[in-house]
Amino acid sequence: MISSIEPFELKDCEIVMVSTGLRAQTMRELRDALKEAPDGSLLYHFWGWMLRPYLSESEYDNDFATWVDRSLRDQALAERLSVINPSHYEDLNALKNRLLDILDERLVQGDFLTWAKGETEFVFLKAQMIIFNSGIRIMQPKDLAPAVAQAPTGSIFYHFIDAQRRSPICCDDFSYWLEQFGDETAEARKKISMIDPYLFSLSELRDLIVKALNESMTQGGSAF
Amino acid sequence: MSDLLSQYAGVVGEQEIRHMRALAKGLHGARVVHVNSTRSGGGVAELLNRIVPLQRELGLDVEWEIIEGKSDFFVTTKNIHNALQGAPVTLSEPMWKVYEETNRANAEMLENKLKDADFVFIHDPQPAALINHFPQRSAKWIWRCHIDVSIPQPSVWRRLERTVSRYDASIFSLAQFAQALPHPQYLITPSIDPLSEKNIDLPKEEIEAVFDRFNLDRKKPLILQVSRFDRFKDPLGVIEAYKIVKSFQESVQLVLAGGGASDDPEGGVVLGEVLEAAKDDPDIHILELPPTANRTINALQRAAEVVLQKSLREGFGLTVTEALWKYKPVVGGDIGGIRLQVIDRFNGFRVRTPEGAALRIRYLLHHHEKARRMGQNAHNFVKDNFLITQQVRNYLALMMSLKEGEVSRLEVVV
Repeated sequence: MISSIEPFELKDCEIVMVSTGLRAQTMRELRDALKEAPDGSLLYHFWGWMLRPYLSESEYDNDFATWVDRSLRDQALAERLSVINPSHYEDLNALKNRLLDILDERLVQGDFLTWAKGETEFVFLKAQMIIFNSGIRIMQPKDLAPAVAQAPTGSIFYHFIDAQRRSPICCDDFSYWLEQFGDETAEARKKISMIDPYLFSLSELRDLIVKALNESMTQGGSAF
Repeated sequence: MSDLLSQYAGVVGEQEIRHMRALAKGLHGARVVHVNSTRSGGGVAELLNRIVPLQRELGLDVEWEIIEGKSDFFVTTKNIHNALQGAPVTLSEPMWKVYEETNRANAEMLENKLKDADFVFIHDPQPAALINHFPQRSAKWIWRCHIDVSIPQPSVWRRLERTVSRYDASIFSLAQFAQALPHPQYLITPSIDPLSEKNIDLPKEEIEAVFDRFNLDRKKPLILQVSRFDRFKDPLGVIEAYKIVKSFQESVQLVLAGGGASDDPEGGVVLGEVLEAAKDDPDIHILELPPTANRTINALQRAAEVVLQKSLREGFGLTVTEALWKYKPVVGGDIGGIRLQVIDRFNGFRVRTPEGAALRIRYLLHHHEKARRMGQNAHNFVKDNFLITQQVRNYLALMMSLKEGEVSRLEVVV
């Protein structure tokens, strides 16, 4: 069985940020601009922040929630926006509709915060992702942990974050590849699946994935 | 790995270098020309001094050209610069004529180099009008705007916009600076070079030597602002903040260290105003440093207790990045690129007034352990986000993006 399995090609990526020209300074403007925003913009504001200047103490999982809190000072709305897991939506249109629903529900309340001008503008950006080969090829599960430990953060983004959006079952590339080795890698896959991709920086995620792989190896999976 | 790349690997790790090299493979041999208006003085020249050799090491064929102009040209471009940053400046028709004519003359001189390039990066407004003289260009032309153009003076921007619109793309330092232009507007933050004379580690003796050299008092905490003598850097506001601090605490000293740049004719006027404001206080030290005084600035930043960058407008503020890299919490103006770098209470404070600056300086002077922790955060934040290797990566990705067309995902096979 193993002989028919393809090696794992470790890829890397870089994100280029591009302005969309859409801006908002109030909750209603945010809602209206969001309606016009291209898919690439949703991708960027939900995932792209991981590849840009980032403060690991940041409280929220996406840029919309962060702006609503820091600029509009509406913490309740920020919390509702932050809990959205983009991987749970069929496509970006469904994700956008969910965001619009939450904003509309808040806007009908009509209180001060729904029309107040934010301290700063929300600027809608979009991302272009450049994906390229790292030149590293992994043949056996035992070689995965050392390779991931040396991988650039762009590789972690591509194989762990971006993969969950690419995969129909919201699975990361590492687990998907390990699955082909059957039960022997089940423990590793289980541990990796328990890592919350939205709570850590990419370098922290790298450490957690390596730890999960190494612990599974220690616990005696024979494929390792 | 080459010597230069090995040196960077020592700071940012080999992973980062491998990443850059893999990305650069798709651009091997690409002919790139950078054009700006000065080879020394100011952040742009400093940046190009390091980016050009690095891009060459990665296999690109890179040249760096400087445009030439007389003093009336640089007076005009300083006015354009100020207007783009929001100052109420208007330019007369003769000034625009000088601007356009100087660009025309430079276009003739640079014709061979620019027409053979694959990518032309034009830095800031001074050489922006070169593009008007290359109507049949095959290269991708990119206007790299390093300044804060969030609220430009409308008539000046409208005039410049006609030229800038001809570019294939533009680059701004922050999303808030992007304008309505008919081409992709990329966002790339500037960066510092950890291996440059201005940022390398220094021996303790060399740091301490600045006290004697500039007649500073070793016993008094040192507050420092390093920047050109420019109204947008608010040196008078810094002196005001210092005087408020001194009214609470006698033992303190201020250093305003500024260099001139060959494209900034206004510096002398502002320096005069600063000297006037400082003349009655022996604890205010105004240092006029040449553009080559990088090690001295490095030592001053490391000797300082608190570093200020109380700018009123700021494209990005590389002096902020430099200070953060040296484990210094920064008290910075709440504007432009400083917002991206200084996070309140994490690695410094953002302030809006001299009074606010004074309040935060006093806090840092009295909370040493918190200041130390903020300094550690400051260093790590720069290491993760604002080192030159990051910017080189961004430029490579941008070139790749322009080469292949604007698609949301681009898989490069090399």
